[in-house]
Amino acid sequence: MGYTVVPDKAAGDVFTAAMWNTYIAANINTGLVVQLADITLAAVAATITFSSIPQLFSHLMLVGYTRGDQAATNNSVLAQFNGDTGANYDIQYLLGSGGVGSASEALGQTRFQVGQEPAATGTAGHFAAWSTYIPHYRQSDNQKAAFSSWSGKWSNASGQMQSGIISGFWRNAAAITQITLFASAGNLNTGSRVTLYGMP
Amino acid sequence: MPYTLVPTRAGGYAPLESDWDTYIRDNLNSGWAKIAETNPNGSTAALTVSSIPSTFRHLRVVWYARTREAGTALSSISVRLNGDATAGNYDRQFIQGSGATMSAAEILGLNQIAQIPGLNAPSGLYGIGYMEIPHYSQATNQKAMNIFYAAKYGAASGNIVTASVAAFWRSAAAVTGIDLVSSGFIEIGSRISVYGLS
Repeated sequence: MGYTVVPDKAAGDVFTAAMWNTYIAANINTGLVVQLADITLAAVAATITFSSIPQLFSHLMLVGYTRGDQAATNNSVLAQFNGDTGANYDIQYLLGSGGVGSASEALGQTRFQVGQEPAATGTAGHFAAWSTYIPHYRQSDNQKAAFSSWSGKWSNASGQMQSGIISGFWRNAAAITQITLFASAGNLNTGSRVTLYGMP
Repeated sequence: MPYTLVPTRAGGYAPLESDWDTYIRDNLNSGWAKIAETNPNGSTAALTVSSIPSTFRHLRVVWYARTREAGTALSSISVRLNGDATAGNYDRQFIQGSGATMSAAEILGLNQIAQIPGLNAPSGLYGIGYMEIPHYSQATNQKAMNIFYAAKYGAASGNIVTASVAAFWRSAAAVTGIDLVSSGFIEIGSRISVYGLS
């Protein structure tokens, strides 16, 4: 069931249970994109984890604004589903940095990558922007796939930005109930934020 | 505030104030909401959204557009945040595919973010794209934009382009206004929609 347009009402109209069920309950539950959780780090942390993800929506979306604390200019933002740390992820990405475009495939990885972020020796105040879509997340019939895109900048010098898109595939048909995000080295830094949305 | 599942009610149920607060107010305030939409009339070179409320966590800008820029089938659009038209305050990195050709490029000090069909493109072709600005309403840390666009500007091979663009504004200011600016007037039938993500 999708969204039902809410009609105008006239003064004196009686508010009924049917109206509640159709225009409020059904619309909010099945017709709107809603925030499921929002995590902003007040201190460095090894992970950002969304657990007990409600199994109510058709798809999930993550929006991230993150930075790492590794002693490097940048590092990767990684994800695992349902705590699976096995070599069960395959990825394909396209990446541009400066005038160089590249493509790469990695099979049998222990995690999925959602982006590339500035880290401790990157210019202060720079955070990466990224978003990830996970369609069909709550079904347990077929393997899961995800798509992510990111924008990362480490400094104002040439060659210090990245634009990338990545496709990830989890060799598991299980419904996704947990997403764990972490940096490829070190921690996610203070001020990093990730928001999880349910899409009907 | 995260989402709360709304229960169904039986006939005769009288909604309480707590119903309003929990299931209507908090849920509607936790989702995506359309903040603004503009449909230009063909006499302006910019799609503009101003007075963006600071009550959301992130922004998503969606466009469907074409320009009247003469002499070209593929036109560029630039972004101005908070009216900042200084190109030197923006940096851009993109990867692009057209036909079987992939390319990448970096430009420091440029606020061009996407391409849309121009006057010479066949009629009826409009470009699409979206731009996400996480953390837009905070005045800490520089703003980053994650952009995707696609444009078809002819019927021949090689006349389709798709790109992923990373764009950065060298300012930590909260974003309160967005202009998408073309070299020619924005064509009638174009639209920009801005959504707040809670």
